[in-house]
Amino acid sequence: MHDDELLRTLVTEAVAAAVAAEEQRPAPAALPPVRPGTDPTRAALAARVGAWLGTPRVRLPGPPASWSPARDRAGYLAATPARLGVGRAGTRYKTATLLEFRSDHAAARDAVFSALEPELIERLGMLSARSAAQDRREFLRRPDLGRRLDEESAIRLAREATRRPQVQIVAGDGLSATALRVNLPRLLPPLLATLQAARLKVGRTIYVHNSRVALADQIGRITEAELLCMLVGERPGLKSAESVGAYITYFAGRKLVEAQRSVISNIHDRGIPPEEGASRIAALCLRALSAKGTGIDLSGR
Amino acid sequence: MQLSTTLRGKTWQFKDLKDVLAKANELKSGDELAGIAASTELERVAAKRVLAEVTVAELREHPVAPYEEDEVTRLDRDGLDPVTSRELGPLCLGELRERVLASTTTGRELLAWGRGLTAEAIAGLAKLMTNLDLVRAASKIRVVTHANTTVGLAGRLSVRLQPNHTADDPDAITASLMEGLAWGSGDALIGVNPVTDDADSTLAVLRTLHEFTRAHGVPTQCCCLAHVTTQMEALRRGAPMDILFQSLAGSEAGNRAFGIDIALLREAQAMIRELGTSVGPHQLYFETGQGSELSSNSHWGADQLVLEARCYALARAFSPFLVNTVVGFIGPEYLFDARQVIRAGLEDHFMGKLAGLPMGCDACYTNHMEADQNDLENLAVILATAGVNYFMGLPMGDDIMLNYQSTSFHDNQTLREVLGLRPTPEFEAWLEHRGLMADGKLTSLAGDLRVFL
Repeated sequence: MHDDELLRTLVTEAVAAAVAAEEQRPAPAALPPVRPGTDPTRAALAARVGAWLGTPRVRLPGPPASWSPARDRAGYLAATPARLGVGRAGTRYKTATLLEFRSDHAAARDAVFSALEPELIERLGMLSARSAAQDRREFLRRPDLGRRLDEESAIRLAREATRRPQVQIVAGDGLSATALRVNLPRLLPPLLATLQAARLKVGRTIYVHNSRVALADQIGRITEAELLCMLVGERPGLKSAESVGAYITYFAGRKLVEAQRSVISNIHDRGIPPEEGASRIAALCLRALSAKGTGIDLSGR
Repeated sequence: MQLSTTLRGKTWQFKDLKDVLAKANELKSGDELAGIAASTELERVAAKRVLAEVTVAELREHPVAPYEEDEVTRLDRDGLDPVTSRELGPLCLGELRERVLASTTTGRELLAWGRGLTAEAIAGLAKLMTNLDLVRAASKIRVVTHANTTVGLAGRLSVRLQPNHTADDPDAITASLMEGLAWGSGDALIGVNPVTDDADSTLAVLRTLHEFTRAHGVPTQCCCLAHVTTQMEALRRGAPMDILFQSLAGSEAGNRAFGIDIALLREAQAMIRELGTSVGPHQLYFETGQGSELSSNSHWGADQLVLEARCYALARAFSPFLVNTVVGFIGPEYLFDARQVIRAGLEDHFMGKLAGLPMGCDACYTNHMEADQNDLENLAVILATAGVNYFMGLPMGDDIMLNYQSTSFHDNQTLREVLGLRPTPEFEAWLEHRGLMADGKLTSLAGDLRVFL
């Protein structure tokens, strides 16, 4: 093993030498073209580093490979949703881009603190429940409370939820109730229709306020469901505050590890549109029921 | 060892040293979640008073995870410089804090002392320091590393360019890469977080980065942040890899949850030395962040600051090229708001530097925590003042793949120009040669990827 302090001293010295050499070079305009691997200061430094490590052959970057652009400027900017080509005011943002960024963040923040309207819960025919987290702030601080029902909800579901369904759908607001509000009306009806057309016993959908993914397991224990399908509002990003994730778990009363869940995420208009999400989720449910497994148990087959 | 104190007429008794350390921590939601935080502000100060009287030797003798059961503890204890450790042993932390801050104490001395201090002692010290204490002490220490180029020199502020894309599309990655370089970002590293963690994607991403940077003579190093085993497979298949990445935890069990152990890291290090495309000697890149051990239930009942310091104890055994605390990514259950994130960023930077590590920081926030762009900018200014080696650089700070916000190309260059800091010497020369920078300032050509087309 090399001695760290010695190494540090050597690096510092070598760098000082490299920097000094650089400072003695002519003005920037007169710099020779930089060619990888052949710059004398870098080669000298590399040789020294190699010498301390006792490496006889130091690999340097090879000669310049040819690189030619695949697109023009507009083509590259269009290749990614990253915020490129936004210009600058000095080294800061232009006012319009700054305000657009701020509005995206504001929408994401509002989504985190949004709640689902009771009318929508009723219109979609969902049973309403809540987690043990008393409010949004507690929900954000205490993931453990978001994973279990409050006592009243647990009692209510034991009384009113469908017993022993083959598929139990749970809708959880997670980190964005906005995601449910936007997508559920277009996702849930076709999903239910497809599952029912396959002659499956589907439980009445349950909505849980302030809930995380693993809360579905408790509902699975209460209803003795075979398969759980948790539709949850995903953490809002700047590009979308409306994304739903579907976590499908072949449950049947088992103790699970996270890797035994199958996930379809990014369900929203600019990702997987909700109607397509519904058919993908239904297909996955059918596969899971016939294979009696999800996650690593399903992909391993 | 004294585990009680009297404060304002009340006597405070603590269970053990782990309890003292936890309760002496500045408020963090993760310690509250673990049920180990001080329950009142007075209790917190009482714990700090007790901690100030604890000696370096006592902390060495009482690791938060038992020596017999945790390889991180063993690596830390066995790797201490015996002479320094013996010399510093009798010092209590309160006294050590004053010596660290003394005007006569140099950065070189601090680096030497760091090699005699356990993770528990380094964390304990941070718990007795204010934010400005942390800045003052860290700003003395320079940790310089070299792979293809040199990061960490005085007067320099570097950037890890993070050109992520939601589908690892080569043109999309190249677009962000080009614009970042045109902004003067990317002198510490060009590192892509891949969407798909497999050897094929890793190989493809690395080829994209390698071909572009080598063809344009960019003096930097490239990396694809897949799991270490994925990268090893890519290396076996001939991937052009300058730097090998891995996330670390501060306990053996936490690392197991990450799918790694010390033996695997050693194997990976030997492999990048043999097959890597950088000169070295430093070829590893580690990421850490307070709270990850609690999230995998591998925290031994210890607070997240001590566990973070233990990540650094693990990291220093591998002489990495870069270490990065991803301070605002984990979520509000561990760091609730901007105040906690800023505190954690300053603690991590100081602790890492004292441990002899080339610390950078992903100053960032997620949309479900109580923090925003202004808070991130505050943290970046403070850390740049404290001498942080590098920040992340993203298009407007918006990571479209990982869904969080970090420092932007604009932010990094602003910090450089405000504080008189420059990129690495090699990279600055290249920027000047390409006409993108003059005298440390961007030219009118800069900031537009057109220069590469």
